[in-house]
Amino acid sequence: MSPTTRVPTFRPTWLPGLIVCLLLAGCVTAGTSPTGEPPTGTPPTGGPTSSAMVEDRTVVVDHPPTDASGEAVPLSFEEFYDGYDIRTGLILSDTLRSLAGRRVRMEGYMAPPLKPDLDFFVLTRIRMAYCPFCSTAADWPDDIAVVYLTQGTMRATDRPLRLEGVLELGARRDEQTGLLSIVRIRADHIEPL
Amino acid sequence: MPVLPHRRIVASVAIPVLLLASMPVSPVGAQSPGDGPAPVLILPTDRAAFLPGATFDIRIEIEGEALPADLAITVDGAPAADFFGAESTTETWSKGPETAPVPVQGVTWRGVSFAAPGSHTVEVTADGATTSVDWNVLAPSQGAGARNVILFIADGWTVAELTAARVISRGNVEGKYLRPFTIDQMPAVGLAHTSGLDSIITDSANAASALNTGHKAAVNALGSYPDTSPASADDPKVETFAELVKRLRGMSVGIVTTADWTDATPAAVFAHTRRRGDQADIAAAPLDSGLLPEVILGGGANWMLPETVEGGRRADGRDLFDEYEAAGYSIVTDATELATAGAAPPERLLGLFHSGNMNVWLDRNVFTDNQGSFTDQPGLVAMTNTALEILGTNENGFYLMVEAASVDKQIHPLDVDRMVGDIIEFDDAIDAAVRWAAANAPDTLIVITADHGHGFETFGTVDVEAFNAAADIPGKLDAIGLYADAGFPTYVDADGDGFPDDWAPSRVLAALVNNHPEYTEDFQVSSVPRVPAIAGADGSYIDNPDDDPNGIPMTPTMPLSSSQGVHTLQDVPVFAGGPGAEYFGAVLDNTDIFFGMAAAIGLDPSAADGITPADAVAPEVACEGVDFGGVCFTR
Ligand SMILES: [Zn+2]
Repeated sequence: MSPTTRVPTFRPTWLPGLIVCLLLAGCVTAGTSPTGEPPTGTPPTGGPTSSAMVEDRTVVVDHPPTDASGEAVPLSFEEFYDGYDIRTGLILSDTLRSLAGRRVRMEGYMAPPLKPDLDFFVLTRIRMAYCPFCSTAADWPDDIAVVYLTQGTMRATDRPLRLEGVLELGARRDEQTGLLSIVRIRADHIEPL
Repeated sequence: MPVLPHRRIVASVAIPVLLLASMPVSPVGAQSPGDGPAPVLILPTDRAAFLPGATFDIRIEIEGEALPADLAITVDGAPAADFFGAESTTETWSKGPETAPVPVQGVTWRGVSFAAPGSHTVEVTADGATTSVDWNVLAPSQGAGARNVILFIADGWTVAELTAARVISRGNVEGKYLRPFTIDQMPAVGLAHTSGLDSIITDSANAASALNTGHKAAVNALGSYPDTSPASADDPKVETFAELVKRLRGMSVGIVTTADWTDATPAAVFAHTRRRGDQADIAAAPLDSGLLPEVILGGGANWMLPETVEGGRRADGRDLFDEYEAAGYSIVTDATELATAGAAPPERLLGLFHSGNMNVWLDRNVFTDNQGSFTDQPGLVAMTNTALEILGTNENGFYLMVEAASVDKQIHPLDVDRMVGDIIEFDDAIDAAVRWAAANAPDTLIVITADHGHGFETFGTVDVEAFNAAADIPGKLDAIGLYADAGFPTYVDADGDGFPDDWAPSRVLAALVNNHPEYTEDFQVSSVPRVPAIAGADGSYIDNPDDDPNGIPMTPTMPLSSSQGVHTLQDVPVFAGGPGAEYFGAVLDNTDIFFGMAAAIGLDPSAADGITPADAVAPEVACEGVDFGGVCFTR
């Protein structure tokens, strides 16, 4: 059931994220947990469920993109790694290394988020879903990027995204979320495709 | 005669389950809320079964700020400390939500065991009320002459999945299969119930734990009874089959899986935790406990590496490859190195071939781009063969667990072809084990089962050309052939390797999973692993427009928070061959599989050498039902 309604164009809005959240959805979260444990709450109910209704939504960022200096360099997931050494881990490509600290442009999908209003999310090459009982966070593919919004929050979306921001590189654990990442983008511009 | 004693164990295990099946099943003791006596939880739970000498922990939980003044914990009327000859420890914690914490007093005995077979009643008196559980210590069998045990587990595997794989792999002409699977030729065939302590629907952790310990567990729990304390590693433990045979009989232990080797099913061989997601801890558990399996083969390198390394997932900074190497392991990382290791078997072998779960047969052999950089992964057959070469050198015997993990991991996302490929490979691995045992060790018991089912079934065939050409949904539905119109699928296996030469023939199986999110289904092989549904903007799962865009729309049959198919209730098949196989030709509980494996090798954990004494006599079980054909039928 491919979307038949026209995808609205991206328009930054100054509406505070909280109000947007209340207006557009029930602010429910997916009943999934990265620890492999069963969901503790009840499944989301009452919210819009059909894809047609979902399509009516607009991706919202609280603040407009800041003007960024420097032309963004296009970067694809395929360019991230030169493989994996079982004893030493992922092998970062020269392309990826050369872009650390620079402005990049990437396209991908938002992985199923744990909450509807996001100041960060995982960007994936293909559309993803995961099962809380048979897989854990370990089943994330290697070629993912964690996107941090430099300002405000945005709504979860299932649409393909294009984003721009500064590339940060190297294995790191986010103290707040516990999320492990290698490629991070401090994004100031995100738009659905 | 070896047959009688373990037959009696079947009876003594199975009959109480059947007798009590209609009684309320609760893992807890009295749980009356309000001002009544303090609710009490006794672990292990009611109707738990044990072997004498097998060690386990006892934990009694009593709600309240302090231990009740009248607290008494007895076994058959005697103080528990006297009965087990061990002192307990007391801990305090809070259970329940942070907003409404409930104080709990925990009284714990670690590492106790029963000296002899028999039935026991544990009573806990607190605040004037008594809670009790009954435990059954089974008589060890004298064994059926088995020295080695191989437990094959196809995760999430059902008769319907086996049948679909047989049609595709072996072909069916005029109603008869052209040739059987090796599985089909096993002399003993049975069924196993799979439910756990907390739910009729089980996950791979508590189901595999039941197979390996003879005790029920709860979803996400391994080798332990789930308590209410926040810590996941302190839950009362039960000894696993691997731990018993290594400790008592000096047998070798092997783990072969296509998943992360720290995933639930392989971890059930050796791990004790409330939380299967603690994979970093599970990866280190053999080093930390000293129970070092001779063979570990599978995926999951990420769990071995410190998180300071790209891809590493260990927060503790340990490099477990270095530590396993220091513990005497040879380490191999691809199929080529594995073949070399098999030629000159090392004492201990650790082979990890992927950062996470290994790729499935279909992606290793047909859609090879999906492997990424992992282009030289061994298959389940090569891993099984190498494991047998190494384990077979121990004169004391071995226990090998082989898991086809992705049967489950592929049918979860409704990927029928990837599931079928790994079932065919599973049968090939079993065939390899049969050939190895016939040539090297006829005293090998082979048991084949699953941990739980999935709602998969075949109901016809699909004319692919007509399906794809149809202009609308009714037209696509008309391309599905039912009854006589189904005929036969047109898979061809000209090279005779058991796998179709072309996975996209003109007529394929019409097969569906009965529980699923909103998605579309075209019944045809997918060139990439399927992701049928994705999270919509509100977190509800909706159809993935990139998956089967040409398919028929399917209305969700489960909560919208579910992204894919889930485990189901049905009994799973059990097959067995070799000495001790007869035990498994019955309707069993999954916990019985542990006792069946123990019976085959004559395991008596209460004997100094772990071997059931030759003069041991199994107690007669009085028939309280109808004796028919030598079997006691009860209601
Ligand atoms: Zn599963």
